[in-house]
Amino acid sequence: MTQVWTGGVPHKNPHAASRNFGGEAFIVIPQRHQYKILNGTGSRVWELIDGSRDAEEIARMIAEEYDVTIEAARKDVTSFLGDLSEHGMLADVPSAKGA
Amino acid sequence: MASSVRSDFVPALRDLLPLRDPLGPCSLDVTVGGLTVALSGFSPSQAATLAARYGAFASQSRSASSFRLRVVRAQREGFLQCAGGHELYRVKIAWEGSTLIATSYEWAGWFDREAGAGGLALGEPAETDSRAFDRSLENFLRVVFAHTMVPRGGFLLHGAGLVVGGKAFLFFGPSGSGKTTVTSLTPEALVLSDDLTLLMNGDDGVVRACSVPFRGVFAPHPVSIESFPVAGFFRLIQDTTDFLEPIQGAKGVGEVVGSLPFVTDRPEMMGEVIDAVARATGSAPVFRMHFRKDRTFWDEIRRAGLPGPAVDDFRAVRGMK
Repeated sequence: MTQVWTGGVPHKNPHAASRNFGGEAFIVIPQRHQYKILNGTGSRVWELIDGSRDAEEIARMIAEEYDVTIEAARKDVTSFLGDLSEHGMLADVPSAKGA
Repeated sequence: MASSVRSDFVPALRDLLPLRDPLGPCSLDVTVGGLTVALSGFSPSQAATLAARYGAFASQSRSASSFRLRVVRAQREGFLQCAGGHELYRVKIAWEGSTLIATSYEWAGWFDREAGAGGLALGEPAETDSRAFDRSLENFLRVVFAHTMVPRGGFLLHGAGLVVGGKAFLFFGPSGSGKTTVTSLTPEALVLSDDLTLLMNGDDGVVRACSVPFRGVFAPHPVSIESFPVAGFFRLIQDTTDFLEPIQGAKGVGEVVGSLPFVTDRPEMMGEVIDAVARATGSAPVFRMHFRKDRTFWDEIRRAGLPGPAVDDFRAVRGMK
């Protein structure tokens, strides 16, 4: 089931290592023995996760930078953060729940 | 293999550091990719076996070792229990601060990355059984070299390294993907390894491949300690037709990172690992290589502009023309 982020301020998994190659974020989670590659928008969201911005603030910045409505950005960002959480790329937040 | 161990014992550093009883008075240096490990603590017969096994990689010089490893008696039968059958060879890796601890069936080793020193504790069978001794030391050296290369910008790749026309072709992928097959299909190549190849990033921006003194099927005695510029990386995918699929950027890095042994477990090292792989894949192209189990994949490689041997060369080699 797709998760929607409802956990407040997202934090990156402290064990995640990431680099950006030509606008694509490459992220490794050693404990899971897996890596993920994010597209341009996903990479920008990953970049904006700094432990202080909440989902709403990230959505506002995405709406502004990508010229989309705040509603569309909010929906995409919360869905994407839920996806990141589900794949262990965010620090555990108990309040993230299924939608 | 120490199958009589009844349950896993994964030692902590406090269990290993007090072990100081060597198997003998001998020592030997082994140099791989510019890194020299000074090995000590084994018997004259073990030293002779190691010198023969590691060939040109071994020397008696004690002048400029990069790090030191001493061999000691573990004073126990072994460490990990062997379930028997076709169990994949297990090596458990843990860290205490800057010290890596690797544990397997007949041995446990530790290596302090900052101090450049460590040891290998051998269970009772490996003290007296020369094959068990060789296997234990070699597997620990694989772990140590994998971890010591990364901070220097290099890495061990789970892949075959074949030198054709002075350039190294790296064919990689998980066990069963075809590394030994492509090696056997290229008899004119200088085989660096059919299993584990060292990649080093030079200061000149050129990534170079070289052999390691660890045995595969096709390179039981590596004969070259030279390094060669890399022509390309080829992720092996068995298929019904031959074609190359170029992969760039993050995807290329991902394919290679997925074929690095040992070093992808430690979060603190992952940044260095990614950087080392990115430098290498930035200086040589990465492909997914779909191939049949014959030699025609070299035609695809040449079509991509890389200097592979022609299929006809093979026929000439085999007297088929």
